[in-house]
This record gives sequence, C-alpha cells and structure tokens, in this order.
Amino acid sequence: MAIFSPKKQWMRWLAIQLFVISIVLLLVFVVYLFSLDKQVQEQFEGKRWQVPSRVYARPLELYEGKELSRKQLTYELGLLRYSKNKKHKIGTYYQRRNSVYIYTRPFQFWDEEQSAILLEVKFKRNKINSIWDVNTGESLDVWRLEPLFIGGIYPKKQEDRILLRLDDVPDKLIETLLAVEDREFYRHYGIAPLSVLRALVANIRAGARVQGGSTLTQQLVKNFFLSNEKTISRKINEALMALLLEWRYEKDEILEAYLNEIYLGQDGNRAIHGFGLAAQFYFDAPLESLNEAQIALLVGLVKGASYYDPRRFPDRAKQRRHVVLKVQERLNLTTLENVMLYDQSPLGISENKPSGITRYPAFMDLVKRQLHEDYRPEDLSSEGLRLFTTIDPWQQNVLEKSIATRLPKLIEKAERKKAKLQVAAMVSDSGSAAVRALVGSRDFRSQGFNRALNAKRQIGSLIKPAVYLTALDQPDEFNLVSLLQDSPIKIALDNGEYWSPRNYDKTFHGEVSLMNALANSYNAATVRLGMKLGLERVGETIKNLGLKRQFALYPSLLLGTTNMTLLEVLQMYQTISEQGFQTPIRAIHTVTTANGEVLSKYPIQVEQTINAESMYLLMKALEEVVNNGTAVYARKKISEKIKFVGKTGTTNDYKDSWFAGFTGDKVAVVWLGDDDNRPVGLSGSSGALRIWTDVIAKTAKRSLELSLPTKITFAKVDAVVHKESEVKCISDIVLPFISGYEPKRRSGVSCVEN
Amino acid sequence: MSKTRNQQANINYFIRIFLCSMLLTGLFACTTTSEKTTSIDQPVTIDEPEIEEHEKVVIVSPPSVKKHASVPVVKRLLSKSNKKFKAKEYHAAANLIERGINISPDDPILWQRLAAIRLEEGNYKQAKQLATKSNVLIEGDPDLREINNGIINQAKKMQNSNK
Repeated sequence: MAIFSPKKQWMRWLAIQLFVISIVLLLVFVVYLFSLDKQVQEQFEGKRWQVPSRVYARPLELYEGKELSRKQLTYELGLLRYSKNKKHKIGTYYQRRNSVYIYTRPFQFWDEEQSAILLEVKFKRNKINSIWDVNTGESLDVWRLEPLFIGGIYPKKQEDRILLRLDDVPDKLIETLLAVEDREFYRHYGIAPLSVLRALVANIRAGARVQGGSTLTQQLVKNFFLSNEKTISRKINEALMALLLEWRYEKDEILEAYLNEIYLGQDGNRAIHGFGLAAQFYFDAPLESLNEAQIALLVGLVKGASYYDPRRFPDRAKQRRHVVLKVQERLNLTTLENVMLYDQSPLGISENKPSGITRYPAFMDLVKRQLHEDYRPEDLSSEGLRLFTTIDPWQQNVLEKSIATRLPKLIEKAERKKAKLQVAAMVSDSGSAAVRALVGSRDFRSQGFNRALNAKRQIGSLIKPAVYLTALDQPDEFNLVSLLQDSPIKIALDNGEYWSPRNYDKTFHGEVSLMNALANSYNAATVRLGMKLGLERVGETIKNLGLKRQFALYPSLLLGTTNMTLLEVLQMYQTISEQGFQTPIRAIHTVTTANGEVLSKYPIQVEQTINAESMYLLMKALEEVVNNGTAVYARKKISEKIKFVGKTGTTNDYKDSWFAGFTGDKVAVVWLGDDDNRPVGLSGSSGALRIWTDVIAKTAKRSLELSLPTKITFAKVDAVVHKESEVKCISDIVLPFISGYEPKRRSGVSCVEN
Repeated sequence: MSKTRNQQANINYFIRIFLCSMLLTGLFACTTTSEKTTSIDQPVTIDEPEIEEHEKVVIVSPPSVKKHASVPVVKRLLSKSNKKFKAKEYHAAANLIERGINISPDDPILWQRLAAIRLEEGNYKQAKQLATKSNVLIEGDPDLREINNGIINQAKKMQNSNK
C-alpha cells in the first residue's frame, strides 16, 4: 500500500484549500457581479434620468384683427431668441414695409403639432391685417408662435438636460467626440487596455491630452453610478460595470445615453448635463445649428467642464478648442483654413445665459402650488413633464415696468413714514380667469416671500362691494337710490367695548343714496347697512364671491379688517367681473408627458353663485366709483373707449393701499404696504390706483360692456348724491332696477320740492 | 201704594226710551261713519295717498340691445370645433373653444358650445352652468337662449336619471 509522504500530504491539503477558497471567491465575485448588473439595469431601464419638468408661457396667437403692435411682436420674438436675419432660416425674422416675416420653429403643442413655416404678418396700424404662409401663398386664420420656456422644476440633485435621440445629434459632433474620447468605441467591449497605451503615447507626443484613456462606456458609468474619487476599487468597479453595460446594451444605446448624461457645466445650483442643454446654455442655439468650432468647444469640455469653462476661463477654452479643431481637421471634418479662421475668432459664447432660474419666480410659485394637489414633487422634477401655463410675457413686462416707474416716488413718500414699501400685483383675463401676470415683491426676480400668494393683509374698503351686493340682492328693501344714513353709529362689541367707525374725511354726510355711499366709500353708511343686513348674510356673499376659507364675523368685517391674500381678492373681483359666475383663477391649463401625451387638463369651469340682476346693479354702482368717486384719477388717464369699474381700499393709518378693478378683458389687483405693518402714507387712490391705471392704460383692449339681464327695468328717478363735498339732488337719472321692484316714488327727497 | 207703583212704571218707561234711543243712535252712527262693514274675516284696507305726477317714477326703455357677432377668427375656431365635436373628439373640440374664449370672453356662442361639449362628456353640472353663463351674455337672440335652455333641461334630466 502506497503511503503519502508528509510533504505530499501537505501539498494535497493545500491544493484542496486553495480550490475551496477559489470556489468561494468565485461565488462571491459572481454574486458581486450580479449586484452590479442589477444596478446597471435599474439605472438604464425605466427612469434613466431625472429630467425636470419644462414650464412654458402662453403661446402668442396671431390672427386677423388682433390688436398687436409691432413693438410687442418683436419683443416676444426677442424673448424666443429669434434673430434678425433675412436668410429664411428657422428662428429668424425681418421686417419689410408693413410686414414682419418670421421663420417659425416647429413645436408640439398640447393639442396639435405645428410645423415650421415662413410666416408673413401684415400690419395696419396696431392691428394684424392678415397672415400668410409665404411658401404656399395661403392665407391663414390663426397661427401660434411656440411658447416661451420660462423655467424648469428641478430634482433635488438640480440636474438639467434636454433629452436627445441619437438621430437628433449632428454626425460631426459624434465623429469629433469619438475621435477625441474613444476611437475604438464601436470595437471594444467596454474597456480597451490598448487604447490606454495608445492614448498615453499620443498625449506625450502632442504635449497635451489629445486622447482619453477611458472609454465612453467607462465615462458613462462614472457619471451614472460613481463618484469622482480616483481609487483602485472605484476603477475596478468602473471597468466591471462598463463590461456589463456593453454586454446588456447596444453600442448606439450607450452612445445616446452618454450624449445625454455627460456633465458639461454649471449654472449656479443647476448642473448642465448632455450636449442638447449645453448647446443652449453656451450658445443659446439648438444643437443642430452649431458649426465646427462650437462643436469643438463642447467636445473639449468633456475633459473638464469647470476647468475649461468658456465664461470663466476663455483662454483655456480657446486652447482646448484649437486642439479639438486639429482633430477635426485630421478627420477631414473641417479644413485648415477654417481652423485658422476659427482660431482668430472669439468663442461666440452667448451673453444672455439662458438660465434654468426662472425669470418669473412669483408666477412659478403659483404654478407649483396648483400642481401640488395632483402631482408629487418627485414626479414634477424627474419625469420630463411639459407644463403649459397662462402667463403672458408681454403683460408681465408691462406690469413690471409700470411698477418700476411708479415705485421710486411712492417709496420716497413711504420712507418719510419710515416704512419699507413693498408691492404685489396680479392680472388675469376675463372669461377664462387665466393669470397673465404676477408680481410678488418689488424685486421681481426674488425667489423669496411671495406677497401676492402668501401675505394676508386687511383689505379695507375692497370689501364694501360685498356689503352693497348683499343689500341689492334684497330688491324689496334696497335699490341703487335707497337712502342710507351716513351718521354716527356706536356698536356694542362682545368684549363690552364700543366701536364707532368714522369716515376718512372725518365728517358725516347725512342721507345719501346707496350708490353714492359706495362711490364715496362712506364707512358709517356701510356699517349701518351691514348691521341691518346681518353679518351672516354679508359673510355668505363673501363666500359666494369666492373666499373659500373660514373667517370671523365681526362688525369690523364690514370695513375690511378680514385678512386676505391678493390672490383671494383677485378671485372675488373675478367673480364680480364674470357677472356672478365664480371662475377659479388658473395658472396652468395642460400638463403633458415629454412625448406630448396629455396627462392633466385644467379647463375653464364656472358656477353661478350670485344672480345676474343683483350683480348688474352692483356694477352700475361701481361705475360711480370711477366716474365720480375715489377712482376718478383712472378715468382721466385711461382712454374713453375703455370702460372699467373698480374699488379703492385703504386700511387704518394708511397701512395698506389697494385697488381692484376690471375692464372687458382684464381683471387686476394691486397692493402696496410694508411687511412690518408700518403706515406707508398712501391711500388706495394715491398709491395702488396709479400703478393699476398705468398697466390697464397700456394693455386693456376691450371696454366693459355689461350684458343686460332679462329681469332688469330702467326708470327715471331722482338721487341724492355727494360730489366734491356738495350735496346735490339730481333729477331724472335713468337707473336700473330689478323688475317688479322699481320704486313708486322718484326719491325720498324730491328734487322738485328742493 | 199705587202712586209708588206708577212712579216706578214711569221710571221704567223712561229707562226703556233712553236705552232704545241709545241703541238707535249707535246704529245711526255706524251706518253714517263707514261705507264698509267690518268683520273679522275681511282685512282692513287703508288707501295710500295718491302720488303726484311729478313724483312718479317713469319707466323707460332699456339701452339698445347689443347684437352679437363672432369675430372672424372665433368663427373659424367654432367651425373647427364643430368638426371635432361631430367626430366625438370632445377634448380637441373643447381646446378650440377655450382658445376662442381667450380671444372673445363675452361671446355667448362659445360658452354655449362648451356647454354642449360638457353635456356630451357627461359633465352635467358644468353643462348647466356654462349654458346659464351663455344666457347671461345673450341679449337679443331668443333662438340662442332656447338652445341654452334645451341644454340646461337635458343636463337636469340626465342628472336626475343618474340619481
């Protein structure tokens, strides 16, 4: 029997141990590979990237008869980055005689896809006379310019990108990229040891890094999964994952992912990923329009986007661009002459850095608020949704300019009172209740406290229409000429104290007509009326006007001590402008996926909460505010062709200055005040009304024409009015009354007797 | 004794005369002071003093009724919307109407079309409200009003049948 020697036994034992250890290590390695593979699949499939939602303004509609100045049209074209150029290239325009020629961009709207055309817009004075498709000679009924991109809703990582398909990417860019970063891309399996050696030699020869050692696949893995740390374990992981990626996916898929993932710059908190967004960020142009030099610059950034940042380090960027241009020349993608020409040329970086930081932060606030109910924050910031909003860039521009012009003088006045004046304002459309402009602070770009949405302030006399509407809704007791007593009143409060409201002019006016009491905003008459009607009834009217939340019913409510936001005030006056139909204020109308599939619609909705007859009478009373009352300044400044109504509001000690009013097409509310509630020394008339007037004078196009409800009768009556501190009895005023409730006598005080 | 009896008889006689006189006087007063008899069932009416001519309110004709006419671009949008409506593409039809409302918010035909679309979609509450809004905006078009009332009635009927 053969007996193994001790040495051979030991060797045998060692071999077995090594075998077992190898099996175990192999098993561990396989398990590890499986986990890496799972990571690769999870990232690559389904939600590959966090693509932020893209938010758009309203598109400018062009049609025959539209009142539009050429100034406004060229302003909007400028915002959309249309350049002045006669070369009939997409994204250009020029003017000739009475026409503006625009080569429009294609766009996928929420309801249809619109192709690019060469459009002629013929003007006659400040109106569009006709619009034409220049190539077909066809007259067009209506055409929309693509909507302005106003910002994105970003993920927490603050990445931003414009998704590209491989077919969208210019061949020159792909060839340049592969030549500089990975010549063997279509041949290797994820890692290329020979390429590393080749790159090393080439870089030593050139004295610069002209070739990269990592493959594109490895770079993609690094961007997708790994950190920037330069450790051996990270390098090993990178290599393994690159192999797995190549094993699972096609070369074109990997390349497409790379083109969308590669880090190419920083804009504040926003990281610029992918060539699509980089083209926009650096050149303010679409990728397909870039020339060789611009492509060379972008490809050069791959090596180090921060180090070669063309805005911060233009010299380095130029040198890097030259290196890449030489590679292009070797590939015959450009000529030597062009290289020399480009070397002498500036980088061509856009001065207007299109920022992901929105131009309209206060409005974006409202957009997010309205979406919050239907979408989780992570969906908004990662699914690449397209949000179509209602903001009108021209209206916003006019609102901001009006405020900027008026504010310095008003600030001066407020500062005498040691107050820091702030402002908030909103403009919406009649009918659709679409928000067209929003300012939340005197710093329009501030992302801070949004006073239009969040500042709850006393509204003063802005509440009075609700009181008078409650009265007019009882036609058996009240009509426009009903006599009210504007005399001292003392009301017992729950705490045992008494409240004695006074008028702003510190006097009482005796008998006044209801219409006149509202026009002159008499406090005593209003409180007497409100107490007679009952606070519950007035509260019900306020709810019917659109204030949804609970509020206390104190007597001082009648003079507007209830705190409201500007948005809530706008909703109330929107209902008045809609003749008693509550129409929810909207900032968004449609949400689609990145591919254009409609996910949510926010349509126009109405609900009649106040009868049309009572509202008609209220509007007539509000006309008096403008014609003879506290808003007469606006009547003098706005064209006679535009009829409008509104109400001033001033709170105690002049702490808040308000004006709310509307024309046939616009509803607008303006507020001025101090965040710390210090008096600003401005009444509704001397403050907010001025800004309101400036905005409406420049943008309102339709006069307010009230539709006559069926149950209204007109009658000649006398009315007691107060005008310029005089008491007058005016005979033969024709006024509306609810049918069946016309007064029998002309007036309590007969003008004939007087 | 007989003298006392006679005196008593005379007193009784005079009392009876007095009472009858009072009764007759009362009856006479009632017939001469009021033309109408009063009773518990009939209300008392008091004539109001007549209003003098110069104090009477004069009813006047309403201001001239504004005739509605859709602007050309709205007519075009309405036409496109109608085609979509007939093809049962209600979302597309509504989108076109909303574009029209942005241009002409007081055009009652637009609101009516939107009401009709909502009716077809089964949104009866909105169909009623939109048709009511259209009615408020109409002034001199009874045909339009009749169509709106038709939509309102249909919506009510459908709502009731769904309950």
